[in-house]
Amino acid sequence: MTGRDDPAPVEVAELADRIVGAVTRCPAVAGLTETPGMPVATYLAGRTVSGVAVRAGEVEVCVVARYGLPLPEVGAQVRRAVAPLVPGRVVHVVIGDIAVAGAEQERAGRP
Amino acid sequence: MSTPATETTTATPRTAGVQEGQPGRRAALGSEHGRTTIADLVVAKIVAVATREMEGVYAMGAGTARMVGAVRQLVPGARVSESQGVAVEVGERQAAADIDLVVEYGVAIPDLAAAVRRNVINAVERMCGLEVTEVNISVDDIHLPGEEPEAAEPRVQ
Repeated sequence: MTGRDDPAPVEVAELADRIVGAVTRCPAVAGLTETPGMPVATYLAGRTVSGVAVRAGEVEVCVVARYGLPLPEVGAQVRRAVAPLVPGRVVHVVIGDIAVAGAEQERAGRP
Repeated sequence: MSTPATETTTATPRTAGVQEGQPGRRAALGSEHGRTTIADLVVAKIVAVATREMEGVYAMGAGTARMVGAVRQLVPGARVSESQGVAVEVGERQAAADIDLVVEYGVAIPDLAAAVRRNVINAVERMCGLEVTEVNISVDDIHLPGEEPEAAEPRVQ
């Protein structure tokens, strides 16, 4: 892979969507996120896929982990889910936030 | 209240090469297939959860943070920050935390502080795989029984 070897836009869009699907199916993941200051996103014509960045030699995924599992294991789980979709690319995982169950209930109970 | 009592862990040096609280810094755990990075916010939330689950901890945050939190609670849609009262420094492999808290009246503060420290270190090391070099606990206030802010009685039944 040298120079401008970016994948075609259509391919990127489909890939980003498939990655989002695979990541959200991970039991240790509550969702995808974009951390303020260091955005992770795929910019497409007419829309943006948040939490996934598809680049030439690598893919970056930024997730909200569920509280409980050790975070390196969450990273490994996400990587296992994404790697088969992007053969030959390195998968970087960012744990951008963590969903604490108690806090969520508290939030839901508040008007 | 008088000046807060500060308890510090022993000899271990402060995380080497880590700069003071830049937002958005991340800890990285590398592997050949890519790296896993953990945002500072995540470490701070884990510290907060590990602190709050201890019996004897009444609230978290120094006076100002609690006041801002109380105001934010009144704003519809806004919520108290889950990491209120916690400041973290996160490096590649190590982390350090500063915790502000309010204790319940009647607890042995040094014992509680030691227990909080133990729980925080355990949680961060288990969940983030980071070595914890320092947990500084500052007890900013004590909660006396019967000091609760009165729950506003509904005026209509």
